[in-house]
Amino acid sequence: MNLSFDSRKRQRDRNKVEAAAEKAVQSFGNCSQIVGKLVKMEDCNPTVRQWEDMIQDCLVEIFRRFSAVDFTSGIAEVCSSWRLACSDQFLWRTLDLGQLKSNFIKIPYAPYVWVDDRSNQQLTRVLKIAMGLSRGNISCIIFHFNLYLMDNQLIYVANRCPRLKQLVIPAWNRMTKGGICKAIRMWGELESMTMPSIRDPAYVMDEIRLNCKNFTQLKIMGPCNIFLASSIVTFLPKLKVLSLRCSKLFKEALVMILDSLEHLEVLNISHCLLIEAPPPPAPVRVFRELDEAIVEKASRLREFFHCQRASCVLCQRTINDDGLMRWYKYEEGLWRTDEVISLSF
Amino acid sequence: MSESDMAIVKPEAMKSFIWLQTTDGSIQQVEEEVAMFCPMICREIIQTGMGSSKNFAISLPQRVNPATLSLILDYCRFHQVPGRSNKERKSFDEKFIRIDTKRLCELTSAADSLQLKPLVDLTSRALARMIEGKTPEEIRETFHLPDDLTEEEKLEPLKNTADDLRIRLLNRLYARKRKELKEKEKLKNVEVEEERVDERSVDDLLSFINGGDGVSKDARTAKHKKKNRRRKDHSKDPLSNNVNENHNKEADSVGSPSKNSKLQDLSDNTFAPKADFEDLDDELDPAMKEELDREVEDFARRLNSDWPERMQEILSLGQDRRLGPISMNGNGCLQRYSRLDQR
Repeated sequence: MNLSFDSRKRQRDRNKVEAAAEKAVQSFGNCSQIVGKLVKMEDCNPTVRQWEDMIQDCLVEIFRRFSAVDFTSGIAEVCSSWRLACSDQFLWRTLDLGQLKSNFIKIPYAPYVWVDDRSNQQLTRVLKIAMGLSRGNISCIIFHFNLYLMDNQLIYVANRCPRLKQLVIPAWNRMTKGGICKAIRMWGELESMTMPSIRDPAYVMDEIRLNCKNFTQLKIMGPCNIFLASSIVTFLPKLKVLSLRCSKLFKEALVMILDSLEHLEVLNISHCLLIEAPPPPAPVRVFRELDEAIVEKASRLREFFHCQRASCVLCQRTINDDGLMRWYKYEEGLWRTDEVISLSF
Repeated sequence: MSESDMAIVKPEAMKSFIWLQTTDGSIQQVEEEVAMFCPMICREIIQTGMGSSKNFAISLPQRVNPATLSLILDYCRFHQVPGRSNKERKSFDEKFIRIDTKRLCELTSAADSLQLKPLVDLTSRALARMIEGKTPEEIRETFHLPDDLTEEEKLEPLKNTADDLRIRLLNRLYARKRKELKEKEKLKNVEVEEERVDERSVDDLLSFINGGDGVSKDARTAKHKKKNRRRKDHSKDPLSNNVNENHNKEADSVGSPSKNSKLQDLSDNTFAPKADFEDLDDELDPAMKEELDREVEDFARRLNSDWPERMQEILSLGQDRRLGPISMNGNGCLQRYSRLDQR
């Protein structure tokens, strides 16, 4: 267990006091019993105290192995000491729902997915428990690319994770502009976001600019055209890390990013399908080699990830999927990786 | 060091032993290589040089009792042998954890205190497997745990409030007081004696929470003390009337401004017991209400109230949550959320 002993001890002490106080406040009527118990705790020997500490430590170690979904079976409802351990902040730094998918079908009209009720309720249940137990300590949330949150679920989460720093939320179909903006407004400490490619990205970038003063890392899971690039450049000029991997990327967008994002330190365009779209009637063409101008512009970056090899599996897949990667076809968890470590979950 | 010499040439007759002592005082000796498998023991030996003889036995942490120690040493003895295959180790592990849950828990805790991470992993995984998929009732049966959560707490695991013990206690106390007030209104002919006992227990509990020394004396003595101090408390009536007004005002909504301004005015920063707290009167009816109010006030005074806005938000949050049923069907849940959103 690589957990700092001092902070665990402090937390344990607090938990101890709380547990004692909770018990006391709960049972007003049982005067003598309670007083007796409290007396015992006051002058109890170290062995008894250690036993309680042990329970908390070991329980946390066990609960560490459960996912958020597992907690819905009622682990936090067993008894008060388990409940306390279930909300230990070490368990809730990251909320990883990367295994939870909506039960959905595609439909031909907006929002283009339909999610069945039961699956929606399950998500609500998981979120309710996670928000309840985490007590505002979550700093990183990961949603699966097929987990279709709705506005009210997103806002519910945003309300209860005020200290969120990293967010991976690739499925926006069932959310509205208003909902997303409302959520972003509650995340003043947001530093990093992974989002899908959307038709009109300006409002999101603007909202982030207004509310998230420490925002420096962005990953787009989808095609990047000139509109997206100009939104990023206009509203997130201080961006330091950007990943556009495994998607269609237009040359003019790339050039704009390299030219205008002065604070950019890390750029990832690995396995991207690079497109050059000169004015008509010249045909659109795919290019593999980065020309000298681009290489020169990119040389100022601390890290520039690029891979456009014919032999690369991911490059081939991007081409086959026409620039919009169908992650569901590939290995579990592949979608979460990134050459940029800070954007890899 | 002599140990490295030993490692090179170690005829059986010259095997060295480490002496270990458990909290019950019993001392046992163990082959050195087995003991060294435990990081905590290993560190003790290297840093302090202890363990080489019976008089200088290494004291093991409290959580390691002799029975658990022998289990741990069995584990170490098997795994410290380098030549074993992964398959062998795995099958040993599987058999090793087939013990009753109580011993498994003790083993986890002891392994944790000895920093024997592989064993902690093994036992934690086993316990996790035992917990997975079971209902709370089944878990309680398997691990012999008490069912000590209220129904309210079971439905709503933890309030989404600030990570502050005192605010939570205050919330809970308000909830209790409100409940008590309601009940008292219903049962007008409640026994006076009963009430007095209740009051006293609250005082004791709360002063214990504050670290007071009323606890070490038993309830009777405390009762005695209170009776003697009753005279003092008459002078406090004007105060209690004032309090009553405020409390009645906010009996309907906890988050009302009047209450919170009162809290803001209280600049008591300490969370320590005070003499006046134990002076809390156990006056009979009709001052019952004032009594409850005063307790709440005194308790609130104990809280460090440098987050007035937060307190207001939290208290009104607590109030909001009591609105509406907690239903688990899709519509019900969504409705609840929208209510919270409108806040």
